[in-house]
Amino acid sequence: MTGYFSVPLVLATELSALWLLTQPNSSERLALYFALHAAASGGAAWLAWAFLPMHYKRPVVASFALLYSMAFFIPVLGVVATVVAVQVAQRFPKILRIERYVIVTMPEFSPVQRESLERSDLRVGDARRILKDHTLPQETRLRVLVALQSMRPKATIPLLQSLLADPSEDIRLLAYSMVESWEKDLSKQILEAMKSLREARDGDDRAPLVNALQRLAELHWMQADSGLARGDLKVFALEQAQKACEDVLILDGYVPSVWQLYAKILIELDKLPGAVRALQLARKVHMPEQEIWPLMAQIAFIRRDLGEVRRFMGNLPDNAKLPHQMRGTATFWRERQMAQVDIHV
Amino acid sequence: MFKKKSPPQKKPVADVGLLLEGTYPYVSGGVSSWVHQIITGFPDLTFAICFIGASPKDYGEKKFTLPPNVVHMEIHYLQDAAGAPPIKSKRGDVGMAALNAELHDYFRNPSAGAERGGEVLAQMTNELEGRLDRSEFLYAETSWNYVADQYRDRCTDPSFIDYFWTVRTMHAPIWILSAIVESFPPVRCYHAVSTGYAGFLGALLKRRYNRPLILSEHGIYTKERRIDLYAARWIADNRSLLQRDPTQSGHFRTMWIRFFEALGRMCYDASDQIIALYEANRLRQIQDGADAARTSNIANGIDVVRFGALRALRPDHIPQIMCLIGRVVPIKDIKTYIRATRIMANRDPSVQAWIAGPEEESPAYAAECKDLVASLRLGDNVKFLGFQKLTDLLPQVGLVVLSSISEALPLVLLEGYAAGVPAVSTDVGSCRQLVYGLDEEDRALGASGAVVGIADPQALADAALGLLGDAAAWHSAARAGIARVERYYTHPVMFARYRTVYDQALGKSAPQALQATPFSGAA
Repeated sequence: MTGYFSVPLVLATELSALWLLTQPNSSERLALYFALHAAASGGAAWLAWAFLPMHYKRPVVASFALLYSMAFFIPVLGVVATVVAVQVAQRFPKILRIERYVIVTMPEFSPVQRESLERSDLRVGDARRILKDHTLPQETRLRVLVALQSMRPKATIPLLQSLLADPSEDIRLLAYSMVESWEKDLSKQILEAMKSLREARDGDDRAPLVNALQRLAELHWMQADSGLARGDLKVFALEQAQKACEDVLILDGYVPSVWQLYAKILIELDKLPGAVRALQLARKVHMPEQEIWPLMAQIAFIRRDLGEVRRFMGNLPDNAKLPHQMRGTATFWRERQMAQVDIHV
Repeated sequence: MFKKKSPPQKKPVADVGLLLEGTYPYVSGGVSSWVHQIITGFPDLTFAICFIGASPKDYGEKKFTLPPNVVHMEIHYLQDAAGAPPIKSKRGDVGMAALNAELHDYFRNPSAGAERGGEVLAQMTNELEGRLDRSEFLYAETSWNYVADQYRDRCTDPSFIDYFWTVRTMHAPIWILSAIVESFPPVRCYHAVSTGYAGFLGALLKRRYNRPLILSEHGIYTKERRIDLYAARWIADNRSLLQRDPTQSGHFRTMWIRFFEALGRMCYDASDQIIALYEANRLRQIQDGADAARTSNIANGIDVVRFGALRALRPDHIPQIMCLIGRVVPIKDIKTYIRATRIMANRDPSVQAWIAGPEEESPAYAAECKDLVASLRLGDNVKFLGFQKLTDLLPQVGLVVLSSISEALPLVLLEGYAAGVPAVSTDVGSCRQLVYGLDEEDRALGASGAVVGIADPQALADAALGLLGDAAAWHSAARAGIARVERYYTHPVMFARYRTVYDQALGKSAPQALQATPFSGAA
């Protein structure tokens, strides 16, 4: 209400100032004019500012200064224009708003993700059959091949390597890129192990040296065991692993896991007497017998001494915690022993 | 309604507009050498080059001096972030949105109504700098709605954010290419040396200016991208364990593959002549949507006289040195070559394996190869020579070896043959044809080396030792190689075939009647 009462006062002040301009010139009158005009401008600006919507009032100094300038430098019209502008801004805010963005509806949140319509009934277990069947559409074979990426390298590398000679170039290249990716990872780990070995050799402590050599032996063994290294390269990898194991055992002969690895390497290199000696030494350093007998049985099997295979497997206690792959084999040979049935392989 | 008039025909500045993606003159290699051969082999023609690369940091200095008949060259980078239009709100062009939906339906099922697909494509490509400009794609409400609808209807990946940015990233180069269309100077015909972005640019130029488009494919771009994308680890797959079907590749991976297939198909549809290096690739082009009637084969050729002169410089004995000539990049599978050297060195510790090629294109891979040499203890056997002049190198080596996982028709084998050096190569591209011959007459010349499977170091080593250690077999292979290259793979043979191609393109270089080319997918 105060604002409305102020309007006549502001107008009267401004009209008084204008009346002074019609009088004969004198510096006093001019000074008085400016004083009255400044007061009227201030009142007009205050009125306009008071009626501004809240979001136009900030920052306070700048918005008031703008209104005051309008009123002071454009007498009468400035005040009127200010009032009109305020009204327009108040009643038709869209006219003055600079819109850079539009409001879009919120995307619907779907708690259940859409399933692929092309979901197939292919089983990963069928991968080998499908990949080897060149009569199937290439697209099907490619999809199955992609699925192998989520499987363990050791299980898939022999299959992938057989696909390197596939008639389809797409299949060949994809199989290659998958093998290459695993090979690259393993090579990187070998280089890191070699670096650790160099650093360990520069130090005085024996433990890091043993660890680095053991790690290197395990990685070279993985190269051969996974099938990534084949032919002469497999022999080379195994020889590197053998050397690293021997270096560890010179430094510390009481590491059962290294004896076990050493025996496995010698078996792969067809150095069976050396492997037997390694396992005998492993027993002396208290390697669990349930890890020794399967390897002894393997050596006996390679020598086609099936009686020994039976004997070694029979040595395994019934409650032996065997690796998953070994359980079936152990059961098979134990049953043969119980039934005393000779078998021919 | 949407048809835009062809722009006024200005005087051509060159006869041929060469459209090159990631190759000549900034990258050395087989395709670049071939482009250089073509330019220098046709001194009576003028060439304007449009080089398209990913990013400036991927390329160094020019590897070739441009011949004088290159009258114009411009360089564009697809990952150039600059130039996005200012943000402004817009509702979008409803007509264009409808066409866009129709076009994507055709991409998903190109065999359903090829003719209409061609019309839609023609209308849309003409509007890429108009009603369907980049701001329409980036900021229009219709565009947002289409992306959101497609996500709801089709996407099997849970992440809308990844979907949105995949769509944005995938489509961004289209407007960079459409800007090139407006700025590239007028020429009498266009010649793209691959499909992909360069081929798509060719298709846009062809539709805009009605000049003939020639496509020469060395490798098959779409196939190579597909393999890259299947193996790529950067593509997100946000499916949970329960959503994941191991026999289905992720949605974004499939999107990218389809995108490049669509680019390839658009290029095939627009091309007047589609040239492969050998028959297997031509058949692959047809399988990927090329019209068989427009396809043909033109084999690579080399300067037999220049390389033949090197035979006089060879020593009397067979140098026990094998050489892999090529860039040190993953596609050359240098690691298999190094592993083969390990096997050979086990039997003959003095064997020498050289690698002659630039290393700067993939320094990480070059470092991996050197690490492998160290880990296999081959420091005395393997030498990285960097880029070498073949005329200096070939007289010194006993065998050219190629261990690549993908090739087309490698010039280095031919250059080795001409210099009297047999080859051992992997069974990729046309290498079997180059080593054992194509037809009856060619095969009668004998084997000019040996072919082995990819990524098989044992077989590679056995084959290399077999040739280097058996003088009779080596001389027989060298003779076969010389005879084969002199009969089938010479410059005159190649240039004569390309002369016909250019004559045909330039002969009909007057503007053709504006018409939409139907999709070949209907075939």
